[in-house]
Amino acid sequence: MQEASPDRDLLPLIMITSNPDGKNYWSEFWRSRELLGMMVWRDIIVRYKQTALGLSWALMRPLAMMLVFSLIFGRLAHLPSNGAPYPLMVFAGLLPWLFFSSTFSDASNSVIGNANLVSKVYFPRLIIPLTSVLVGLVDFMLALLVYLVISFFYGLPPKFHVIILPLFLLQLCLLILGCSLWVAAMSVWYRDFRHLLPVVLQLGVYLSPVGFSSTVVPDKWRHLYAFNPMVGIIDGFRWSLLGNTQPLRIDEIGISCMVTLLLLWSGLRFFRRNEHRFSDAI
Amino acid sequence: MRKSIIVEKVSKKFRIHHKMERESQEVGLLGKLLGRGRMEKDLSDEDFWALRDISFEVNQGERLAIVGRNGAGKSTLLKILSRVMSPTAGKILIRGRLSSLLEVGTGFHPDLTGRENVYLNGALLGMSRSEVRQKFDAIVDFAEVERFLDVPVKRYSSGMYVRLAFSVSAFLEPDIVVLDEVLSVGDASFQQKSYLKMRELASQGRTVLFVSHSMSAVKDLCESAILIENGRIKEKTKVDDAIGDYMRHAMHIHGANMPLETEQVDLLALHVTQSGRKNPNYNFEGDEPVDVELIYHVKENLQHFRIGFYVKTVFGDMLIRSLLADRNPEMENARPGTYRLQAQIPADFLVAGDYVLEVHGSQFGVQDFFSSNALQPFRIARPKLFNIQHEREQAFGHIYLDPGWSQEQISG
Repeated sequence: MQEASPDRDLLPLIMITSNPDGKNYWSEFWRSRELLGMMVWRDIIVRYKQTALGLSWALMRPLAMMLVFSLIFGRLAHLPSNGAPYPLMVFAGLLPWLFFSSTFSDASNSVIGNANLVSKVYFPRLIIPLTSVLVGLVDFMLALLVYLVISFFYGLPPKFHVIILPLFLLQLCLLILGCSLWVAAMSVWYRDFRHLLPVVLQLGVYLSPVGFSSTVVPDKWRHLYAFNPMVGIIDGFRWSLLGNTQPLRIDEIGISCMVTLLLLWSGLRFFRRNEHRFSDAI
Repeated sequence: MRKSIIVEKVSKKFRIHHKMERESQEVGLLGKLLGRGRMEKDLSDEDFWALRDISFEVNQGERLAIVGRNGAGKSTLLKILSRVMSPTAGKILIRGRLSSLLEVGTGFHPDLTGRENVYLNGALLGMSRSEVRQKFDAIVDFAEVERFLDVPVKRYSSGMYVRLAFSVSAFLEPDIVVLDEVLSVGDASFQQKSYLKMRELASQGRTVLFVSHSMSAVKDLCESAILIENGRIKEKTKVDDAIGDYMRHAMHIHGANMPLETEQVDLLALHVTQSGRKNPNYNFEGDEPVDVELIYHVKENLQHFRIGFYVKTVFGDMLIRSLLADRNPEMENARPGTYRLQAQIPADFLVAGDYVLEVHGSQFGVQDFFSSNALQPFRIARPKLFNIQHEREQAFGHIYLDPGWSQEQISG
């Protein structure tokens, strides 16, 4: 055992007040990056440890939804798919959507779900929702692999456009984080989000161009539609994976990015303003 | 003296939701938006100050105990110091890495193995991965769980679980350690071991904050103490004084209300006085006798009846057991009636300090009438004539004895 450090001027000085000024917020967050890694690793292990079919469950959902949407929108409603096989186009849209919906709901419950930690140990609370987003990425990667297999099967593997995909993926992660920060913080005080969120997400799948292409929306509504940030992201995914037969409008991407950044900025602000009060209410 | 912790006028307020709580939670956000929940909430909320204007300073290397009854605000204070909670008002400065060993096992995940949990818990407590790796063997060795390292901790016995959890936190090397009732984990031998570990931590020049209900552990580990009562503190004192205050306070609260009635014997009154004066604080001079008077009522014929008192230390160690029938065998058989029993603790007998007088009444092998319900704490001051070596000398032992010292000079 070492002696406690004798030179106390080297020791960090911490000030605790009723309203943390947050000066060291990001440096403290950076110092906790190992903890973030451990939390992600914990959640992944716990998630896949006990379910023997753990992996396949993550894949059942997109496949099932792909079938349903292709049948309803493709076969029955004869909606356009812009030159791609309808199921493949649906799957390319399901990739971001399912990542969004499942991770958003996980991350929104994450602070309450870790109540025992929040009420006992101090660490930057931002780690909690961020962990959920990173864990969700694992499922996303698996689904992406399945997409690649299917795309080879259809003879339409991604072309060079795919190099843009990481950018859209990054935007998606930031969007999820932004939304989750709001809800995760609010649900500490209002538990009803647990019931509200599934309803919103259920509606969202029809409000976003998941089962159909965004070209279905009449032109005069397109700009309004683009304020749903998932529109730009889903279009971006389809364009990156299926090629330039898919629509990609720069103005829509711009709106989507702006909405994303606004949500992220306001979410971070709200979360930071309230995180020091979590343990009072949790 | 360098300060480790400076606490300035810290207060913490909680909102208590009275019985409307369930309703307003059901109303929730939606109700709030519609303006319904709000009105009910205002009616049912009340502010509760868990801490009020707490100020104290802790020197580097000082071992400070925080004592107080359950609900006095100790845990809230520790939570604020460890940054889990924010104060409502006030300011705290902390120099150095502060780690708290509040409730061992926080952050253990039942599905992870012992090994995995050690790393996870280490990270939660602020240890880097390499730091944990470096101490891993020592931690596992201390916890005595080598054979079960790769078993999920949910299959651990509760003893193994707390041992491992304690070990992780014990091998942290913070500058300031906050210990909250951690000594009570595991079996007797592990308790002893963890206690020694705590002493080791405390003896390395670290600042230690210790919260426990075990007064003997407090006395052993700490040099100074603050007593929290209803969210306020008295000034920092030497540990003995704080323990004395705490025990006296605690017993006033828990002490029995006279009369203490049982089926066969009622204890009607207990008077502890000095020179015929009642002393509301029971602070007595050491060079005058202390009078004890018991008034009790016997309802039926009792065989082998003993009544009298114990004098105990505040830690519960018995110093004196003195019963009426000890030297009066004929008093063993009690007839119905009301009795006054008087006794005296002689002058210059108890050493300065805090004591508890406990009334004992029993029938041998049959029953104990008052259990430990009739208690009177009291404090004895140092006899004026006692020749102390220096002003701040502590009290040694509990009983004065004048063994008739005599000395003669046998050579020049």
